[in-house]
Amino acid sequence: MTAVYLYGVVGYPPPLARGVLGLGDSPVFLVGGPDLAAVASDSPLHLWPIDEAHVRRHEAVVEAIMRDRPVLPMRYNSLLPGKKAVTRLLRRRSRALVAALRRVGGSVEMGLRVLAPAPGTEAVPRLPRPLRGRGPGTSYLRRRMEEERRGARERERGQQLIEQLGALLDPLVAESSLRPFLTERLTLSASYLVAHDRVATFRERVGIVQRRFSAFGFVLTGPWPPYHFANGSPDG
Amino acid sequence: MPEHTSESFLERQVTLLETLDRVLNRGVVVAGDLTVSVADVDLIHVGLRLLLCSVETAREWRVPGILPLSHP
Repeated sequence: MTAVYLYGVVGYPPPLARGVLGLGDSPVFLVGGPDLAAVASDSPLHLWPIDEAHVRRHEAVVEAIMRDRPVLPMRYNSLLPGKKAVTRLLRRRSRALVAALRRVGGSVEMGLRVLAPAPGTEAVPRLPRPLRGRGPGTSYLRRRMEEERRGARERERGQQLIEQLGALLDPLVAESSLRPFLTERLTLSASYLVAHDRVATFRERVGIVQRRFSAFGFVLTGPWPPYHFANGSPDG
Repeated sequence: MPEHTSESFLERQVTLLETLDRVLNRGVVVAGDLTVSVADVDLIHVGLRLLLCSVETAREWRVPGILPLSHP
């Protein structure tokens, strides 16, 4: 039994560039509703494996579409039993999808992750009053207190970093999705919806904050399809 | 490894993790149909761990300018 694999949703009806191949090297086509179309390819009715080659192919199709029109990317392994089911889905969710397309039109997603300095790379804050004693218990306690002080200081510094990023980026971006302190080391995990013509300025401003907080690691990626902004509200 | 400088290898690794995080955990969901979720939380978690490792390695190797990583 065959199914239809979905890569994204676009406004209808501009024709699709020829020669885009999807999963299993199946040609990509549009399945249309009255004002929307899904970017799709024929697929066996099974889940595709989660590996580099397949995930990259999904992403490559979305990026190929994104070059000349706004696209709402679908999550990996979105399969429907046939073209009629796709049309029904588009019709049923038409209003939300049209609104989401309008929201991301002319913009791209930029990703930013900020990593706190690795333990041991920063000077250990001194304890206000040295602990007396030389036993193993005392040294353990001293180590724990130093770790806690370092953690608290890094968190405070991370908070300042996030505030400075916000002050510089908020006026520039259309929307943002911020996840601060996801793990002890991951100070910030963020996605921003940025207009095409503001991407260069966006990079410059992130660079300003990076120079102010040079002990932190910054990983800036993009432009991406608007994965974090494809649904009705920013995904957390 | 002439065609794999440390920078391009790391960029590839980080780009893959960022792609996985987005493609598997974000995007429009076809709720109620045949879409099957893929253990979101574990994948994010593993991805972030690997990402931390990547950036650590980049620093150890003194890869110039972790920022900005270009996306192919």
